Amino acid sequence: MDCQQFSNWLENRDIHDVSEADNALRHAQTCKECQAKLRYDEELDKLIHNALAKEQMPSSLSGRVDLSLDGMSAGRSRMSYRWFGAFSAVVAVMLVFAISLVFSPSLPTINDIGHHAIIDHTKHDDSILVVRDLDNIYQLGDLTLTREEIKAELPQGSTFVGARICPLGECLAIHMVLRQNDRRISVYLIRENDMDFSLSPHGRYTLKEGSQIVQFWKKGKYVFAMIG
Amino acid sequence: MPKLRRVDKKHFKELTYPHLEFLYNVALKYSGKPYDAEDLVQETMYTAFRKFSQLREESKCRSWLFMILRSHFLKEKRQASKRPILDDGDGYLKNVNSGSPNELVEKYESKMSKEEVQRVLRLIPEKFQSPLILYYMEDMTYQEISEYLDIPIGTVMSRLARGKKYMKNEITRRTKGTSVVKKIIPITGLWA
Repeated sequence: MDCQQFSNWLENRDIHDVSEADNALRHAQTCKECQAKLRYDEELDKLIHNALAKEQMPSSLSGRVDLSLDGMSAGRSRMSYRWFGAFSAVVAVMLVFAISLVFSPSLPTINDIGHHAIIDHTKHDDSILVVRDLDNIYQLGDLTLTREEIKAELPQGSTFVGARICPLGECLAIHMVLRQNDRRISVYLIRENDMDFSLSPHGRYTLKEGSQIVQFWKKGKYVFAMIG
Repeated sequence: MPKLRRVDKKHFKELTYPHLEFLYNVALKYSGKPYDAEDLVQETMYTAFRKFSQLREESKCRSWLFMILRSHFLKEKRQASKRPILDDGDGYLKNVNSGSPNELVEKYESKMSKEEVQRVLRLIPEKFQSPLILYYMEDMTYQEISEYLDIPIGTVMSRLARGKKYMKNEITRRTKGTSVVKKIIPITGLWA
């Protein structure tokens, strides 16, 4: 291999046969100029490698993706089930009307809870929070969930601001306020027995009212409702 | 009237979120701007969630997400005007002599910032960019890149060779302060 062939090999290493590498490296050992070219090429490679190395992802990105998926879930259900939704709405209205003739209103529905939670989340002031530490949340009610169980249900990376007792229509809830970057999040903890619906233990549900989205899920005998 | 809908995101998140950092880094190399990269990742995840049922093999989730991100990037890029590719036809080794390599490399490190090298990467067409990103950032083999991009291994090799040659040429030229384009060849028709 001569110097010209060596340069050609070095600049196009990826498309040359591996067997040519031995020849090329043997030539570089006997030729100072080609040895310098080889070192130079390797240093360039290192430079590019370092410049294209992985960087840390912004901590807010997964939260932004979460939000966009939440928004989409609600939006998509509107599109895909538009006709089904309209039909269901008519049936639901008739059903509610028929039931209301027979039974008097009692426990709140998921729509009631969601509606009241949205109003509470948007209207109340953080200054009225009673408890400022998650450990003291038991002062607000007889909770059977442990501190760790509650914490595991809260969004990752969020910080606990405080909690209070608040009425959501006909039932009482523990309202926890959290912060995640600049987001203010409300999580309401309600006893399942106080409501007129039951959730699957592994399900996560969303309810959209206007631009607000409430997520519901169940843990033990409690229902969590989250906004924000 | 509020609507209620069951959402099964848990499985989706378990499978896709571990790849967010990879996606963000690829997006950052493509776009060069953190905010654009974040938007690109969001669009990717949005599409992935919608098309989640199309993912046949969970073990290929990473490459599936990569392909979605890439197609989003290409869609956006197609809307922008085509950039010329700079090539003076000379090799980057022509000015290296036996005494110069260390001196030149030192010069690179002081002159070529990470951003500058990434800017050079963005000058070349995506079909060369993607193999370079996977090769340098992820240390992937030819075989892995071929599977990710769904192109023959020989094509990966030639695209890597051309891409590397272009980058090294341009870095050399910029460092020497001779970034004057001798010849501008439009992208179309080059490296088909």
